[in-house]
Amino acid sequence: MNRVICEREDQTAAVIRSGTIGDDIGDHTAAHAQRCPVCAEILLVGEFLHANAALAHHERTTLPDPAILWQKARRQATQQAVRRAVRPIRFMKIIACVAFACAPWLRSLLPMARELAVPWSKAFDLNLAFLSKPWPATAGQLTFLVGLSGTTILLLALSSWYMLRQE
Amino acid sequence: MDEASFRLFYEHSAPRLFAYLLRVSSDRALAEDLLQESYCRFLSSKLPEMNEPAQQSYLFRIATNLLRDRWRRHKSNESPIPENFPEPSSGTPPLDRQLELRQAFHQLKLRERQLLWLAYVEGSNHKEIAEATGLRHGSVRLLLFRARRKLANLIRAGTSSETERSK
Repeated sequence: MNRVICEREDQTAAVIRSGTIGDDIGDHTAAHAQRCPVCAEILLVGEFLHANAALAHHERTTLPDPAILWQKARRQATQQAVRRAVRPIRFMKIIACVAFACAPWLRSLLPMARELAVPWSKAFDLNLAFLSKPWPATAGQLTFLVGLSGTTILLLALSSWYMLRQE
Repeated sequence: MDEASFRLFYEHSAPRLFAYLLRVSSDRALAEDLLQESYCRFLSSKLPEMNEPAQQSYLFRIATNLLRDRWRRHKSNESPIPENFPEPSSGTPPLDRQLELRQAFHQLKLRERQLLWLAYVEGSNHKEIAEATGLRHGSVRLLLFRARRKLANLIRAGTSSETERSK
């Protein structure tokens, strides 16, 4: 069976990295590698990779200015902070939109809710008659409903404006 | 980290990180893109106090993850070998040697390239490689061994065919 590990493989790899082949430690390692197939393979692969790394350094284009990266990272960090800060507003806005859109449908469910609630109202002696009455029935209730809707729309507009301003 | 210490850190680490990204991705534009993104993420993350080798290890971890994510997104494990060769300069290997080095390394899978580069060029230990690649610590030794053997066979095959050509 082929050997998989050698106790000196880390040392061999370190010699390649440090480029000390040719001095005493390097020669000692090279002599060991002639007898050890694992270290011979490491030596072969390591030298190949270092040639590749040297080639990559030659191919290197001009690296970006660190000042630009610093500014870019700061800008990204600020954007992330803003996103985190407006997350509760965004969440509440979604809930408000869903509630606003579903309001007529929820109202149509009121009689059905009453039907379902009758056994419970008897058991607990509750008065759920208001569920079956049409709403808004009076001018005051209508004003209240229009006012509530208007306030919701106004708050939605204000939160949208605030988020856009922050972003 | 303030801007001056970042500049110093960048000057030490950027050439090595670029070489890693260029060789592992085999795509210059992608390597340049990921270099910038890696530093931005590095700066955005709230790091505890750590020394420079630990910071570099963390930076390589970010770059490795970004590379893997990009690869998954494009669902292509084989990107074309870049055709834009650098202008020959003093100390640059000849073009056929450059091509040979690129092709041999490019025949490995992305993960194999990452493992070999981190182990034999960056000198990362198995624990650091496991952290950078998301592999289990116990799997790194075996995967590294397989990748090393595969590359060694490719290099040997390349060397023997070159010898035959020269005869």
